[in-house]
Amino acid sequence: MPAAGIDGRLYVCMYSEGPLRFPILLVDGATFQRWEALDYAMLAFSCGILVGLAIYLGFMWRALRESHLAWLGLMALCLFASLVSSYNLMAEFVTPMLQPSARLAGLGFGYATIACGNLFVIAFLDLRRLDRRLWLVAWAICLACAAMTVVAIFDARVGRVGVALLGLLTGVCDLAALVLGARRRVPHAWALLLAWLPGHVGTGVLHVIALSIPVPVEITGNMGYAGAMLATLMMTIVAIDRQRSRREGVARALRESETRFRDFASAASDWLWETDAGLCYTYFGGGAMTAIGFEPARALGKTPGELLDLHPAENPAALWRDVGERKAFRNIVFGFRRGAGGRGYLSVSGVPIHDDAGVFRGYRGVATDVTDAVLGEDARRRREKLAALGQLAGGMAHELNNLLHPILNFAGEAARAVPDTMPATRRYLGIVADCARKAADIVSRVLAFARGEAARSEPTDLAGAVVDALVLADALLPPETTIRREIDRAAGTARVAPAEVTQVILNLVTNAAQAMPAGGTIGVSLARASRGDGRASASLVVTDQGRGIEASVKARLFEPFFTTRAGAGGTGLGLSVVYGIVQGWGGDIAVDNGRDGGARVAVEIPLMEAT
Amino acid sequence: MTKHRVIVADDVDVVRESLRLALERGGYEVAEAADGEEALALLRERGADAIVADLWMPRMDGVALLKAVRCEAPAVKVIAISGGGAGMSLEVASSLAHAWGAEAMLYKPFENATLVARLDALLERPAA
Repeated sequence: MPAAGIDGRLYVCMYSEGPLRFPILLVDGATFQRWEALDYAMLAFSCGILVGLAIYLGFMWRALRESHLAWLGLMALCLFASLVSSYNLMAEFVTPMLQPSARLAGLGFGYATIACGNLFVIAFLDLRRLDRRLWLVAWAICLACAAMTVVAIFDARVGRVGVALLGLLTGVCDLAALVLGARRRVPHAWALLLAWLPGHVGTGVLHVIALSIPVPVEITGNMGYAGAMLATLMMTIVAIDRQRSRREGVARALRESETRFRDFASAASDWLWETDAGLCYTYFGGGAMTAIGFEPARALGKTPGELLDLHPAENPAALWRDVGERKAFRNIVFGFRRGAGGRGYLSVSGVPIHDDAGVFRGYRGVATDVTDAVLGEDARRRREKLAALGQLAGGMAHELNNLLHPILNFAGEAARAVPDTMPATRRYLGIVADCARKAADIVSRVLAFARGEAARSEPTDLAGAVVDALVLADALLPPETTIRREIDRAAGTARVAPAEVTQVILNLVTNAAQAMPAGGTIGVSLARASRGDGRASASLVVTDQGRGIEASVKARLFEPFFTTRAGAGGTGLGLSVVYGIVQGWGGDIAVDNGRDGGARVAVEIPLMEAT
Repeated sequence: MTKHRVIVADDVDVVRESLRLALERGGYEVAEAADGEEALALLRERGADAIVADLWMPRMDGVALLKAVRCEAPAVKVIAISGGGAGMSLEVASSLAHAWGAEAMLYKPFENATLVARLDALLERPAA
């Protein structure tokens, strides 16, 4: 035994190598100091490695944001530490001086490994949501591990039994979690089953066996753990990757669906809205809001009543009733005042929004500006009413005039027949005749009113009016005369009275028919044309196959009472009436001879829209 | 001088009677017809110098009568009369009457003397 020392003293080193071995070494001071320094250096080195690995783990956690990966990493770290500090390994390979502290560290890290394994399973299978009781058991095992570490400081054997029992308990707990997890987290459960459990349970069993038979449990058992952990890590990464790609698929589908609906919304002329529970607008989308006359930014936070000047007479009770009952509503039309005395109409539909707890959060829906449709409907109703009024007035006038005519004339006859000796009777009859004239005046005024309303110029589809008039004209023509129509249905809209169009067509067509006593074809065409000043117009042309117009006649065509059919009953009013009407439209009329020699009358009608 | 013959076509009998009274006193021979077909039959049967035709009559109306007369007997003078109607406005009726060559158009109720004066002028008779 060497007895030389730096300070001339010998040191006795006693340590435990296992339960049955207590070697005693005598070393000199220099060796003792070197060993002591080595012991501290190793501890510091181990701590440094552990801290470094923990920091590394923290970064990995941050990057992956997967808590079970972090627990798995921490578990690997603990296993590694427990391996390093396992006193057998230390005793054989490093230095005998480290034994007491290494034994405790080895046990402590063993428990920490079990605890981390548990925490990994908790996170991996989402045990907290899966089964709360199992979750509590898993945490109880973790706490038991901590308690066992403290106990192991005082009794190494209790510590080893604890490791074995806790390992088994953890295995059972993992198995239960696996059964539960298989229901919902299938890939995770498979990963655990294939990679983790054999190593985990096997190591637990090995620990139990080691209590009676001496087996190198630290090496074989921990090697099993290490293999299981490596396999679990790989399976976990695969499972996470699958889950992530599925999540990305879902996110992509969600993004696509969102884009699709955003496109729908921006393409729609409807106005999309959302309110909070107090019915204040929180969102606007869609295109038509500027048409309604307000900016979305200004409208946020306002209620419908504050935003729109709702028309009291057209404020639908049904809407507010549905909203009061938190029900969905569909296509409810209400009126509001638009700037400058105008009136607008909106059609709104909406559904109530509820959160997960079923609490009402507001409404979401669409609104459409239906002003044109509503007002168009109003105009149509008004026209129909006027047409009915015109018919009624015409029929009534017919009946009354047929009664007034004999009253007026027979009163005159009777007055003439009354002898001069009866002046009062003659006067009475005069009063009857006067009354008949006044009644006739009233009738004609009613007629004039109805006629005036009916003949009022309004936006009229020219093609439709011409076709209608031609139907009437057809009935008036002799059988050997036919009409060839070339009507452009999209000729346009002009501000004219349909009755005037009828009159123009009837006049021109009957003129044409009379120019061909032996019959023939009358050509009627309507097409778009452009005027010299660039404004849009339609051209109505009526041609016949007669002898045409003589130059001498042409200059006088439009004079009232000028007629070429003096002997045949023409009054000459036809073309002058047409001329008057066309002038009233702001159009023009030209009469010429066509290429085939017949007369050609061209009427130019200004259109409402631009070219 | 032989009397000019006038056919009065109107569906209202008292109107026909008042016209007949005035025309006969004006020196015309008057035949009455209740609609266009009757008037046309009378014209074909016995001829006439002039026809006073209501435009709004059942069966054959005045416009149809006017067309027929213009084809069959263009020389016969026609005075259209009308009190209006539910189906066709007075404007359209008068426009049709003009177009088909009615010599004159009178709106009921008119003084029968006016009609007689017009007929006298058309038939170039000296005023009675």
